[in-house]
Amino acid sequence: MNENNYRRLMQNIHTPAGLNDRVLFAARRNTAQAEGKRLRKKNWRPVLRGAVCAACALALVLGTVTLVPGRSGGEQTGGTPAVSLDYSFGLTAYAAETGETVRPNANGGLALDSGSGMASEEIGHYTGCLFQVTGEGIETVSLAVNRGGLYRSETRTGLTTEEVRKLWQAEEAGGPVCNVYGESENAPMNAEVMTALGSSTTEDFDPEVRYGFWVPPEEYEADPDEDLRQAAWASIDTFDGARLTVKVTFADGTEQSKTYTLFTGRLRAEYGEDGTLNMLPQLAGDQEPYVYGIYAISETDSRWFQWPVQDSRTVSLGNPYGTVNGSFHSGIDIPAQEGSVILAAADGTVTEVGFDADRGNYLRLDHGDGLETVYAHCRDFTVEEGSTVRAGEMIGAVGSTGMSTGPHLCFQVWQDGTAQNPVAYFDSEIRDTLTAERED
Amino acid sequence: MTEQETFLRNAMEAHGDAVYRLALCRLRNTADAEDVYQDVFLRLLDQPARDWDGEHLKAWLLRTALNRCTDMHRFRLRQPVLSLDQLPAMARPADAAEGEQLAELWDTVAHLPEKLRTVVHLYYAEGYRTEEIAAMLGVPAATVRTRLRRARVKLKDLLGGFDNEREQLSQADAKYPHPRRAE
Repeated sequence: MNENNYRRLMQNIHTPAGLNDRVLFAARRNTAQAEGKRLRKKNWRPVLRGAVCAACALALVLGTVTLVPGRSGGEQTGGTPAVSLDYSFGLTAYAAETGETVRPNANGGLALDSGSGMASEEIGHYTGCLFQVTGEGIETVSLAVNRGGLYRSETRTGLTTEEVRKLWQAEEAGGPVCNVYGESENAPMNAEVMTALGSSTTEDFDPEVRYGFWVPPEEYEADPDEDLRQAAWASIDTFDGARLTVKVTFADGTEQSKTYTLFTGRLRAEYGEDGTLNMLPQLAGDQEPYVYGIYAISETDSRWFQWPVQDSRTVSLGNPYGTVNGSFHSGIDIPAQEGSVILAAADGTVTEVGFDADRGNYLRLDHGDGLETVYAHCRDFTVEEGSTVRAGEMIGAVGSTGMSTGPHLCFQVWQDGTAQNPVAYFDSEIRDTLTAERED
Repeated sequence: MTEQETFLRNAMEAHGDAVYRLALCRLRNTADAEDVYQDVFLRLLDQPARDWDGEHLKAWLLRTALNRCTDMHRFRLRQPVLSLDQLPAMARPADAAEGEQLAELWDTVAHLPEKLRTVVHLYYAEGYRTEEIAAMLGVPAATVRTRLRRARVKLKDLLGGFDNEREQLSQADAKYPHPRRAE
């Protein structure tokens, strides 16, 4: 576009601060009025005690990511069930807006949206990124994070005005922070009560209790001139690269622990056919819908793949994984030059080499524990059925066979016969190098 | 209504400035511009906009903004014209002479007749081709060009850095003989 003074002049003019938040608030209010029933669980009439909470609650839109838990590997191998099979535990993400818990169902990870957060210089930043511990027979829960802190979030319902006043008094006296909301001025009120726990805690197990990530006041730097949302994101970034250790003791005295690595960022979001929002474990592009939040990956449950195509780190946006226009695409397309080298994503055995009209030349690798990868539309293969391959070994060349309009690899991941989103199986180092391309 | 809000927020981030600038150019008044802004984005939620690509979305937003601005005029036939200094969000250039020039440009554009002003804004600030503007406004492309020409006469050399006119337009004509509808 040509440069001119008028354009230069206009480029200095931006949407006034806070206008977007006001629109979001109005949109939310309209929706709440239109669908009052659906939102009854958490009505959007927050009694806000400061502009900071207002902006955070509004600006940080929530979502939940589904990440597939691979079957926890240890229990499956060797054919002998592990001793502690009776008891196990896991984490679920908590979607503050709907009050639903979201089970992790991708590669052992979960995404925590930054829901109804709250922040100030006195109380620090309650990020709203919440999770719950689930499992049978759990007695106590120990949580520790090596950066920032944690808080406990509980919902109290049916509060009278007097009880609300007590909560506020307690807060002013330095007690738990609370976020009060209700259907109307006169109806019973509800409150989310948030108690800071420091960087580690051990508590009796309560399945209803949610835990969240908290930035202590001494680490929370609020620049009054900064955009509130930017400030909240910067604060959430405290947890980027941090590790969360969860240890539980069971009724029979046994203990288990899991360590999660945390990542933060603009997680890419995707709308399902039915309007549900799924978050993908990858960073969003500039024009893509996203949700800012924390993404937790279980170090023990997750299985990681190598990128299957040499010299191409592109994922086609035109035909993504998932249901688009009513048809389900069970893999991701990786455009590459004809003849590019295809690499085995992990150690495994070639169980099938075949051809059909749809997938063209395809190859199936079995990686054990019900995990399989499929490479389709290939030109040819350099391995045969029954051969054993190592991760990163060349298995074939990219082509355009079958239902294909150009050279690309369709890469699929199957767990126990169900297609999974392949992107969830690449660790952040690979995900960060991926570029998305829209086919025109 | 998570996905709805995410969509709305992304739309505002991508195109909010363009909508606000257009509304401000049309109405010359921040309060009205903000009203139009909110109205446009709330109306977006009633649209099946999820599948639109970025350009389609932007065109819809700008067109709706124009319509809302027109509605606004029906209620307020005469409004005060804001000077550049009165814009709260405006960062003045460090160079005083340049700042002076921009302020004069703003003032001159603000006092153009509305039809010329809209065209100038869409053409110079948003970089739309005359055919696209024509489709957006529902007038012939030749009319858009006439308005642009008249506006240029009034703006004289204030626009700067832009030796345009004939070759530009004829080039576009040859390349796109048929106006592409913005919607």
